[in-house]
Amino acid sequence: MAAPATQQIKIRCNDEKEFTVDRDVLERSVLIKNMLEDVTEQQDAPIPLPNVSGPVMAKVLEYCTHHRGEPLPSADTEQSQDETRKRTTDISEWDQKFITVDQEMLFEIILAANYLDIKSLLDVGCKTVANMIKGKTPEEIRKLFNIVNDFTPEEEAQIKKENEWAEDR
Amino acid sequence: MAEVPLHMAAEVLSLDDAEIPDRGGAQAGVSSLPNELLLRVLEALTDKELYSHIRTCRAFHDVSLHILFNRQFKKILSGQIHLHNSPEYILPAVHGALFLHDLHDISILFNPEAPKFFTEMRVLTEIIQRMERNTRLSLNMKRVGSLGTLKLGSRRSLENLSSQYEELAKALQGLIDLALKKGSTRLYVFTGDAFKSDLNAIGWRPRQKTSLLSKSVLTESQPLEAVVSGQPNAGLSIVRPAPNISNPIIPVFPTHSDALSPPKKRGSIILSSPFLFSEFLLDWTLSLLNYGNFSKFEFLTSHFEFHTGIDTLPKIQMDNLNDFLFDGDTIDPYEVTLFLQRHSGTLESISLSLSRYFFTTSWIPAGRWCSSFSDHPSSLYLDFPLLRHLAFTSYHIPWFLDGIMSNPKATQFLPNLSSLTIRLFPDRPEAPNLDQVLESILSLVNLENPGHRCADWLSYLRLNAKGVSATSFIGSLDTYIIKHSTSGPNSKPKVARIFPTVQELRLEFRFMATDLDIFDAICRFLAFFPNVKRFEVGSVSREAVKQREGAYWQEARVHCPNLEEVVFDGFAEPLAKMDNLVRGAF
Repeated sequence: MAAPATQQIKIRCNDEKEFTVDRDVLERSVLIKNMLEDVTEQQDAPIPLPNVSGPVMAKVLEYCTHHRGEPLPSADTEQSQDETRKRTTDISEWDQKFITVDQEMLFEIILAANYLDIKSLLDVGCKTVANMIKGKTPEEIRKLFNIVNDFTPEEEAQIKKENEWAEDR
Repeated sequence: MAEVPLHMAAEVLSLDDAEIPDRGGAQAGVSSLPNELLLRVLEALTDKELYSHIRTCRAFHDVSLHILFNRQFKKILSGQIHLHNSPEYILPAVHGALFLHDLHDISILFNPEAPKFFTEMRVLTEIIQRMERNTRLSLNMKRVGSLGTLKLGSRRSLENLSSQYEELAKALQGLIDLALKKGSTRLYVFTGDAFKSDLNAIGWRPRQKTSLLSKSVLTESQPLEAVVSGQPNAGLSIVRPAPNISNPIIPVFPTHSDALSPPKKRGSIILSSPFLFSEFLLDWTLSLLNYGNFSKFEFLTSHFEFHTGIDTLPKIQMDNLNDFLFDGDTIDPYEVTLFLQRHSGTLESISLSLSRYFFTTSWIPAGRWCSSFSDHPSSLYLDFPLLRHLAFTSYHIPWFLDGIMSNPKATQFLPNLSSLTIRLFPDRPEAPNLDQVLESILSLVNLENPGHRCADWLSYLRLNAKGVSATSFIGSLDTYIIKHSTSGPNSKPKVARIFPTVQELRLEFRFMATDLDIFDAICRFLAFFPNVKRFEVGSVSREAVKQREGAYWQEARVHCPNLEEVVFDGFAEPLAKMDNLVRGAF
């Protein structure tokens, strides 16, 4: 018997939060798609996703629902680096609005997109971070992302010496 | 509907369990991104931005450099080098990549600091010299503001400035001529106004309203058309109709002698610069080895930080490697062995100038350490059918001999070896002494076993005792002489174990030998080499030789009737002079 057109799949996040989602929405995630392909029969047990929390999954599902039906990028359409760079600011209006979240959520989304293997969402997240980095000094970046400067003073002096001429002064 | 089989659910769970990263409860942030995600983020940035972010933190530094080197690498593979915003430490890597045959397009943004600027000029000259062809050369000197803004360090003086500038002008001309010679059809030189007027001041007369390097660089006799390029504020594009350069100017910078030789079909790779953060660079450079058709590999460093980067060595495979020189302290002998074994079919020359650290540094991982070759898996052996030249330290001898002797297929050991150089470390108890070294050589010759005998084996032998104290070395010589002489050391000795094939012998010491004891010892030592024609002694003072004059060599002549020439380090005593020296004696 053929599966119904809008098959419902249950997933369970690491905080026990469960979602029941249309299969085609969930299949934006290559990870889940592959899992579902391995399971030939309809199952009732929820798919456990121990790397994703409920609130993050809700955001991810919001993204997947909006983009449902769009063709999935094939695994080996790696863009050239130049192309990637050119398209840095190239985030659609909806995506931009979607990704306007606090920093913690942004990185949670990136990690989740990486884990779930949702390439387009990962791109949106990474481009957003890249845009935040653009035009900032190392000090500003450290402050923005709360990064610890883990160079020894000697290393820092050496790097500075090697690179100072390359900076605009 | 059927239930999901239990084992299937379990499989899914275990898969997920394995992939849970330990975030230690930390808040998500840039620091929580694994490197491959940080790479994704930073790849969206331009080279310039990446250079600025190198200073942010270690992760940014490593990932940024990785991206930068990969970008450079791809450009080189596609025939271009763009050195814009490249710290000078990229240049040696690029240098190593020169023999990628399609390289034909270079642009460089020069460093405004004089020492770096001149380094870049020199390296660029070498690069172009080695290229088979060049279609486009772009020199951007906009950062080099004027004569006064080149930072010349403590020796800042007007005289110095202008001489530097003349040097610069000449070098520029040399560079451009060289590029033309290599077939450039597009040359661009970008400068600021101050730079232009400075060049004016030292007699470079750019054509009015055109750019800096028109007639002055391209001498009048050359049929070149200079056209102002479309670039705003300076810049010159030279369209070259028919190449006919009669007197190319040799660049004024001192170049490595190798760089002056004509480009070879097959290239060499020479890594010699120390870098602070070198792992990425080294990995990257060494990865080039798999692409180019190199015949020579030199690695010169005493830099301890290389040991992580050198992990690349096991991955390298060079199809036509003839010449391998490795002078680095921190390399696992096991990896060297594997490398040598992989390339044994083509190697003609091996030089392992490793210091004693080779066998004594503690960082070599436990289990990988080998004090002799037999520590290796039994399947390993060395077989060098083409090897002609071999240089290594006395430390290597047991290791190397084991490798040679354990070859089950060999009918001849090193059938083509004619030149052997050994650096002695007898001051260390674990290193073989002179006696053991010479015994090892004889066992390689294997005179007792005709089946393994190589008739014309080893015509050149060099013993480098620069790491040995004078007393210790004289002691070793004496011990050896006494041990292997059939009569007393001071009467005419009949030596038992001779090296009949050696025609050239070189001995070197760390000290300037003024102690005449060593001459006596050396003379008696010559008895073991009855067919020597040329004898070289390193680090001997002229005074010491004069003191002894001809009488000194009398005994040597007796032992070595074919002796034609004695050469002292730095000054040769040709045959005629030698005859004068010894005439009275014979």
